[in-house]
Amino acid sequence: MTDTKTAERAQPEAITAVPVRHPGRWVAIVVLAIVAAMFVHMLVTNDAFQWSFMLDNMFRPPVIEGVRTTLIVTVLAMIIGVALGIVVAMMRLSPNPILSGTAWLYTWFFRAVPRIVLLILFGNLGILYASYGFGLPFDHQLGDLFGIDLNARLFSLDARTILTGFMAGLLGLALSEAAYMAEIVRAGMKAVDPGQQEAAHALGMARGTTLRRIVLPQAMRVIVPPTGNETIAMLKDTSLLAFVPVTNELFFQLQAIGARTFQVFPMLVAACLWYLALTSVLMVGQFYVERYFSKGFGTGQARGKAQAEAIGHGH
Amino acid sequence: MDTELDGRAAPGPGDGTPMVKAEAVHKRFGSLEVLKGIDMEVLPGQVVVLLGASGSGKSTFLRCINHLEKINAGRLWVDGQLVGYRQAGDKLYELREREISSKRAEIGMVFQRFNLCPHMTSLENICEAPCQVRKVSKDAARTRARQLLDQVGLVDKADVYANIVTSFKVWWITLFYVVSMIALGLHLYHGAWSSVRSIGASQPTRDPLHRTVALAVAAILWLGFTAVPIAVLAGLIG
Repeated sequence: MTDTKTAERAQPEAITAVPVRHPGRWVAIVVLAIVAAMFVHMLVTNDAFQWSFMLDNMFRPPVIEGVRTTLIVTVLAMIIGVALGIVVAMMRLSPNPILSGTAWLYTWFFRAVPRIVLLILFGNLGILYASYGFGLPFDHQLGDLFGIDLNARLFSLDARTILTGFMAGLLGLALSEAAYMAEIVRAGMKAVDPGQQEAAHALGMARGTTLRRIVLPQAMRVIVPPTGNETIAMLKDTSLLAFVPVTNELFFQLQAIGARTFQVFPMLVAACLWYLALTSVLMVGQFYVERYFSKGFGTGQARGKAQAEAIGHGH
Repeated sequence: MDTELDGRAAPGPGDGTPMVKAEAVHKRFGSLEVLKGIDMEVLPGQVVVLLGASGSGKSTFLRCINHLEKINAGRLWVDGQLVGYRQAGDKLYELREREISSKRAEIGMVFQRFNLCPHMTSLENICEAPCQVRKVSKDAARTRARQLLDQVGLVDKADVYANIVTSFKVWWITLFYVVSMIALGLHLYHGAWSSVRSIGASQPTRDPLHRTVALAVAAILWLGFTAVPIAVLAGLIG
């Protein structure tokens, strides 16, 4: 049908039809409305919520300090976790069985132990050794072997200074995160068409350049969405630091106020609201990061104009 | 491998050293023997088309020349140099990754499925290898890439992501991508027939052999334009 033909014809009447009725939907809406009304009624009438008390206390300086610690730990743990995760994933994909075996062992251990157990364990590492030294490994044993008094420790740190709650908690979260990130990165790299790597090799690109320029940018499209998930999960898991214990952390602070004032419930609600707010901010960030890395896959807006033109010219 | 067709083109420079020389090349994948002793010579300026049934080892042979596959027996030379090894007396030493890479950079290869990077625009695809491997400056590479695209009327597709460009155009972009790397002058076309097929009915003949030759000739004419003495090996998927 050509354009001229349609132009000659009279514009047909717009369709007016009786739409299909959905009585089931109306029933569901009424039920939901009643439940929502009951919920709001509870929020307003139940005195145990102590709204004014909650509002007075949820922005106190120690709580704000707690929010800061929570954000810092989230960012640091994710940075270490992602970096270490990439290393572990590359080891896992290595043709060398020792490297891939070690990576497997790492993932196995840190995924198998629950985070809260891991964090309490790290909080108590001071029990193993009073100080941690850095230098030649097995120096005392080697010295004994040759009958000399060898001390090749470059410097030592007191367990109680380095493994404060903060460091122990951060380390626990980061190491555990690395195991999950390793699996995500591995999946992402496996999702890239092997032909890409081959073409890069055929052009004379070295393995490192190929990984950095060709494979990882494409893997990112697969890696970023679950990493956003992991970041949000990490933000929430910082509340586990209260058990290390890390005393200047958000959940610990809110609970402390609740315990001191015997107003436990309002502070738990305050915790919910804080985590909701922080998570929402992260979700916005995730949206933009995902959009950036999906460039070239139809949804990207990075070069929207050129792309739209290309589709317009499409043959 | 059933047939070898020697096309004739203007003789290249050189001292008569074959561009590719194979001596009893064997390749096995587990118990499957794919190449059972290939002997051949390709001289500079020659166009050689490998024809054969699916699975007869054309692709494998092309990949061996670029050392994407290691051969199990025999010897393979490109421009007089052993592929993948260095010989000292009777002993063969495996080349380091960097040495292999620098040799591969001398050989152009167009893959059957092109393998352009979907996260880069056509221009970025063409510039990638010269910038990363040859350390050409970004500006110089971009200017050259634009010139190349302009020659085939694709300059308006320069900033379009590669996976949006339609397949015939992809083929040209891939060609440029390879040509922009060219130094030694050996080109390998993997699955040229499939590539031609995607060009569509505008070709004068439907005969696969003719079409492949036509394609190779087109490639050479175009390359001749760039004044590069070349040898072309086209693997044909029947």
